[in-house]
Amino acid sequence: MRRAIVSALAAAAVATTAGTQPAPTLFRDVTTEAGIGFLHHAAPEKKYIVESMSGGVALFDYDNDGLVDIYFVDSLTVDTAKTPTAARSALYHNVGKGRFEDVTDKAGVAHPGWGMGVCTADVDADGWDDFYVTALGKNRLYRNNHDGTFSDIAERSGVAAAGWSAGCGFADYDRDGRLDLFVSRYVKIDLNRLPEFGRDKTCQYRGIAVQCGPRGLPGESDFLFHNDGNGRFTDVSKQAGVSDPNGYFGLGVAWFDYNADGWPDLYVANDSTPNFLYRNNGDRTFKEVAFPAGVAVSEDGAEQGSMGVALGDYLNKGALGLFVTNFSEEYNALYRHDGDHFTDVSFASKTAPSSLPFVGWGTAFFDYDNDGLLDLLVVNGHVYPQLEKARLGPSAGYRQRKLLYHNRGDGTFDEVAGQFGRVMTDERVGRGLAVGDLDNDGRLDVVVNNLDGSPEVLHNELASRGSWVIVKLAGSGGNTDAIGAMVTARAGAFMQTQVVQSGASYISQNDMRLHFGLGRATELDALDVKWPNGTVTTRHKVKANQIIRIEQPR
Amino acid sequence: MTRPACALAIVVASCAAVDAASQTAASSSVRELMQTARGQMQRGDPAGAVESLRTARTLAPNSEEVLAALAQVALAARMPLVAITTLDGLTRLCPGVAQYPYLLGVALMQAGDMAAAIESLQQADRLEPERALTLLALGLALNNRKHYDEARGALRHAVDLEPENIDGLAALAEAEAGAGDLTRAEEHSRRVLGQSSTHGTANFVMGLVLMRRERYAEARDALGAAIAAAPDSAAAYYQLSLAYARLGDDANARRHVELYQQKLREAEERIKSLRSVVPRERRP
Repeated sequence: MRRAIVSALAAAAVATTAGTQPAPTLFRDVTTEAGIGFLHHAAPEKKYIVESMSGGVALFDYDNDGLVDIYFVDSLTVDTAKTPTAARSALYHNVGKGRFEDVTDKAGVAHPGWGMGVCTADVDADGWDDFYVTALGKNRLYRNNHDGTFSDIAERSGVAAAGWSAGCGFADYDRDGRLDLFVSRYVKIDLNRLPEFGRDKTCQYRGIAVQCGPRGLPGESDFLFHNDGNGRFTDVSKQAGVSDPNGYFGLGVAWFDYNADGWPDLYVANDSTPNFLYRNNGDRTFKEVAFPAGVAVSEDGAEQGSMGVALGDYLNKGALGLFVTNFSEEYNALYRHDGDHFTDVSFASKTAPSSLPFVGWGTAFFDYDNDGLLDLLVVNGHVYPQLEKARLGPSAGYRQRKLLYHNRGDGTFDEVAGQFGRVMTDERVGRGLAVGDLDNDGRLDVVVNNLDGSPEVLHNELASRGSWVIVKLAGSGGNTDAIGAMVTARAGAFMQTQVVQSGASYISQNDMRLHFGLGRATELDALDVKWPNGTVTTRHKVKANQIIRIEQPR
Repeated sequence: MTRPACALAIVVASCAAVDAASQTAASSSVRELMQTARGQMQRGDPAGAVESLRTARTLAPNSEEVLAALAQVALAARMPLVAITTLDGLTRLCPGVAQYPYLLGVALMQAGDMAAAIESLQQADRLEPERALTLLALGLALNNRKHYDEARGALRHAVDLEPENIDGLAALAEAEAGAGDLTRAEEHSRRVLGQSSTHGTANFVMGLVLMRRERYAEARDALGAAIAAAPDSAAAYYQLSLAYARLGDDANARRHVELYQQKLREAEERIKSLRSVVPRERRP
């Protein structure tokens, strides 16, 4: 299945150059040529934690033209907090041929306040994707008006929340056919009484004065909003058992049915506190089982500073493993899915050692070379710009490179970012990361929202001959994107399962279409779709190299 | 896990940088104070010994003999601030002497600053290679930082130099388990347990190996033995909770999560109090 792509590319490079071997091209940074002028705002010194945690990015087709569009979330700073227009989030319409058009103002989505993260869903089941933006303060639910404009209906829908929201994700947790919404929240913060920079031991890092938190600051509870079906949501966090009364520092969110009982479960990455795995009891309540399931803390019991979450069947066994990005000097955790529990295989998989110097954020499993094995990407960047001047010990500095892991097919990965040139190794302050096929060429592209300045739109230009299939699901009833559906692709001995997710990575949204790299296979024997209501649709003999749309039977 | 104590024989490695004037400053009163300190150590009063040597240091601030004694007594008394500040001075005073960065590394490990400890121990290793104690300390610090591949190298070397050192062998097993080499980790743990069946680290590593081999009942027993040897180990309690969970014993799984959390909080308190006495510029 796996091809010797890197060798072939290296050979090609030798043939076309005289004595030098340029790095093979995997991604090309097309941000500027694509017309993306977005800049994420952040205070230079980041004296307060609230200035370090934004922002998410969403890939979704808001106008149903078959091309994935991009929304970047921007944030205010303490200095600009009273001027909401000082931050400008941006919606870019994909007009094809590698070009994007800034349609933010027309769409009316420029100023969601002190923005943090984003997730998408067709909340009102009208066939047009809406999106939700988390923020410090009021969150926004932007309803798609089908004409390139959006209306914020968060207040009247009952999902505006308050405080400091971070991650979000929609899922039909009670299987009533309507999409509900989970929102993780982070730290309780009062902009009029901010913790003083460098104040005490919790505001110092190796003797350097830095922003305070999250340790030492009070945490926020989380929200689960039940979709009542009349345009209204009701806060059911407490009765459902997912309110997080202890106020752990919630960030990344991932809905998935880990125990395959047909009910969506929920994973929440918490910063500096144990992570949550809420097992859905099937009766509108959840039980928190992260400790017995083995996904709460590191293998040696350390509470990690968890940020982003990725799900992926990286072993091609039909089970979704869980990858969690963490703070520096900890390690990014890879949890293998072993039936009713998980096993920390971070070091055994060889993903952990290379992650130790970095603060990890956005992350995704994706098959960048279409060889049929899910690879893994992590964007990094510290929270303390003070490290710019004082690189300490083995930790990386403030700006950090990306980590790209190539799946070897035996449960281990090689870290290969260095093979693919500066686009992978240039140091940035990464936060949100989303993956999707921006030009429908079957190769997955990457979009990164960086905390300081410009984002990165990375076009996949790997000369891979691996075939592929992209699956676009059309769900029925109130879940038109079929969020929560599991799709399994089979070709000979190959099998891979993926899930349709709202909310992923670090407070971001991947393209909801599911991409399968197929290596040499020219067709799939079968494509099985397990819809959120438990029914199954199978397509046989599916040709490779196509985007296939599958509708849920009514 | 509880780390094996590194032997701290008081050594004064005379270095050329110490000038004659400062040596002669070790006057009779200094000698008396050092003699007093020795007596205090013999009587089990390390804090008193530290005070005597501090007084001696004010009289002979550049005396290598006084500074070395103060550092080592402070280490023995688990007073890392005193040890670290003294050894910082000694390493500058005698940059070619391996013993001082070694001791500084141990003091930094005591203070919980493994990153700085590693740097210091690597310096000691450069100055005097092939020293088992340095390699063992370096391996322990690297294990703590989860740099298992590097730890493996240092510890293998340490075990080659001192094959009978079961603490070194157990630490090597820990590095091997961390790096995913379960076969060697099990082999080395079993060798340690053959000599010392209650060895904390070896039992912990056996517990980890058995958990990964899905032999949960045996893992539970090994982790129980690890806790008996090192009752403060949050990691062992956490792994034991997982063993109970895999065995379907939910009550014990819950109870051990609670115990793990309690141990974690206690460890955090210990680290907090240690860090409060570590010099600001060295604070992890």
